[in-house]
Amino acid sequence: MAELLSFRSLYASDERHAILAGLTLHVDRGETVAIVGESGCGKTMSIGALLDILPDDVSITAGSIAFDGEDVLSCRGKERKARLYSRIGFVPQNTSDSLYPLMTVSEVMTDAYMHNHPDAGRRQARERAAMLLSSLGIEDAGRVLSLYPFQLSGGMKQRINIAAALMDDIDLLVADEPTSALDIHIRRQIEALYASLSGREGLAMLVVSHDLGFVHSIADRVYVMYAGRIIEEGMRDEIFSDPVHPYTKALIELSTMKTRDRAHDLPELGRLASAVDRESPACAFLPRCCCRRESCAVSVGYACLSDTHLVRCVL
Amino acid sequence: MSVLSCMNVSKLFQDNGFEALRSISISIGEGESVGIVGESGSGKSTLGSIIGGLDKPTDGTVFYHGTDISSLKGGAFRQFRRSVQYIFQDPKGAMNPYFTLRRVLIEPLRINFPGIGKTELENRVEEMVGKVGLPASILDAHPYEVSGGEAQRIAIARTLLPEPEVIIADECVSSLDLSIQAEVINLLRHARTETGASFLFISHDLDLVRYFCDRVYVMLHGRIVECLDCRHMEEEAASEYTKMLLEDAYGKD
Repeated sequence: MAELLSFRSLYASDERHAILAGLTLHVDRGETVAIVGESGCGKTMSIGALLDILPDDVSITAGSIAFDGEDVLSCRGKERKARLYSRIGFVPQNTSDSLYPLMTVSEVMTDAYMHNHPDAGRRQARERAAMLLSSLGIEDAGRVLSLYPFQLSGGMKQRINIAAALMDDIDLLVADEPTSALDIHIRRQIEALYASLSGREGLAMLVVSHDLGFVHSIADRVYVMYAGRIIEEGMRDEIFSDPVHPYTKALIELSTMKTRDRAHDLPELGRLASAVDRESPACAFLPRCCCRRESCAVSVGYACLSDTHLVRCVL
Repeated sequence: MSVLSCMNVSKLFQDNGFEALRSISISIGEGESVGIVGESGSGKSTLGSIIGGLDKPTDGTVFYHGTDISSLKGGAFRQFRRSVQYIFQDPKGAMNPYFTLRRVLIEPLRINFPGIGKTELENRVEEMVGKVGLPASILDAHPYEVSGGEAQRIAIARTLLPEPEVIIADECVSSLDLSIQAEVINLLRHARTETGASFLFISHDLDLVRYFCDRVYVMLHGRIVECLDCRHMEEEAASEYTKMLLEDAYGKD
């Protein structure tokens, strides 16, 4: 399958700490890929590096990103936007804040589209927006288009953001934590929506999430990220049925715990050591690992378990 | 007698005519953990802020140890404010970004305990930070310099410092990932055992409420649908809505 997006040994840091430490991953055309890992591991920063929306004090120090065979990092700002934004749709983590409060849904959806397509009229754009909303299962699209963000529920804002991202005929949809902070009933609906998108012809998805249930329901392939790099990758079933890295195992165990036992404390993973040196060749998970060996403190490399299943662990 | 309760509380938002709460009565007993579960927009948070005195109902009464809170004045009102503390979903949003975490913690203490000296307050703050599992060095950081989990621990420290009788936790772990959620919930459970404080635990996560609470009120469209014992939820659930929530959380069977 043709490669659409690739990160090669990407390093990024702020003034004091390394944030990404040799991040390598790729997304093929039409494929749904998920990056999982806990808060602070660098998931959102990797998206920021692609879309040029990193915080001011974070800079990329080494490595490369390519989209459709072209180097992405060589251009910034407006040039990057012009090149990527009509081909990559983005659904940010906080969908409430990403809708401009003084613009109606219709304006939010059509403005960016008309910017990318100067010859398209407002009316044509609005028709397209209405069609998209209906295709995402929103009844009464005409009425919804005339509403302001404060009149929308959380689940509806999610859907509007997804629809806005799909206004152009994009090759890649990037979504940051699409299900966090939604209640379970709405989460199921959003999950179903992403599942239907993941089957869409020609649309690849890169989804960043710590919600493993969601990832399991939509992803073809999964990357597990820890302290700025990938520590395990594989096809969905390789990761969920046959995890190798102790961190992956722990994450999956936590997420499949169905009922919490009142009599006991909840199982913890052990605290994330904030002082860990992300660029060190040693294993960053070492301080929390249940099965560490002496060599882990020196260096640890990647081991191939199959053509697609790769793990950064000595086990 | 219940520590905190409300009787026939309604809330109408005048600007858009939205009736967020419709004649709600709930009670929180001494040392009891009470949950409120329901989906976004059901009125959970509005109820939480009215029962803790942050917002006023359009109708009905809130009682603190049997006294109408709208009649509390001066010292009695301050005592009520100190005794009912909040933990919110977004801990950093509830902290002044220009303050160090030390100041974030000490400021409310100075107001609540005017008779106690600065050194003693600082000692209490450092001791509490240790109790919530953070190093004292974190006190020199600003809110934006710490992670979400660390910020929520600081928020919990701030809540516990005034030695409250009731803690109102509004979606306090819903934006944290699972492993950090577990740490924060364990911390709250230990705090509950240690201090004997009552909890009003607001969440959309039914399983988490069931794990943490003794009783749960199920809310829908501004009304209480039913109140259940968390140990016998499946057996007691009578309404279709609660059954649907249970099914969403645990699947059919």
